[in-house]
Amino acid sequence: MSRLIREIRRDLIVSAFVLIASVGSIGFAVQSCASAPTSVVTPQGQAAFKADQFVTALGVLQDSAIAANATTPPLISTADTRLIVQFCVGSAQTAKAAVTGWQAGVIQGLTSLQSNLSAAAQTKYGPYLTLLKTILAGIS
Amino acid sequence: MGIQIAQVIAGLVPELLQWIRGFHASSGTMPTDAQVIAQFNTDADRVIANGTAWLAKNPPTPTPPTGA
Repeated sequence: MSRLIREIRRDLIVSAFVLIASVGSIGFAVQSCASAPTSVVTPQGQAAFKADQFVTALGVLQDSAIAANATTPPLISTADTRLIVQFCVGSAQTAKAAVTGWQAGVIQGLTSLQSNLSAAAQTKYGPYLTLLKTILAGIS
Repeated sequence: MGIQIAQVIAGLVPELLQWIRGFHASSGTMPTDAQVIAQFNTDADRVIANGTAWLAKNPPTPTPPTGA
């Protein structure tokens, strides 16, 4: 019994660490989601600078989901992880294919992801997804 | 005591970030358009590659065929 409690406690600590680290990283990305440096002068460069803020946050979200799924027992299910990874890959591909004008499609995908995740995953990843929306709002 | 030290450090973070940005600007290391675009492509490719690799290792469970 005490072993079970220790395992639950360890999982909670790992979960909290992953969540804090990821939200903190995304929060930093939001903070730095300002306009491009003055050395970036072309519209393509400025668009890439902003898109990179979003892609960086996507990477944090994806890495944290994969890491949370790899724990024993998994902190999020493989089905939820698959939804998150598919969203991240699709969004990165969309942003790369069209450096400008991709935000609407990605916001739609984000809304779809939020509704398709399980209730438990929605609770865990709600802050991440909200922060992604904030970054997207800053780009649009 | 520990909390006070943490508060002091937290208060210094914005100034530290500002200093780093200023240092980069003054040392001529601000990114060019080409560098920003290359960084974006690198980061996007990393997300795509990592995600694609994970999806390949974790294919969806096939749905059992329903009876006719």
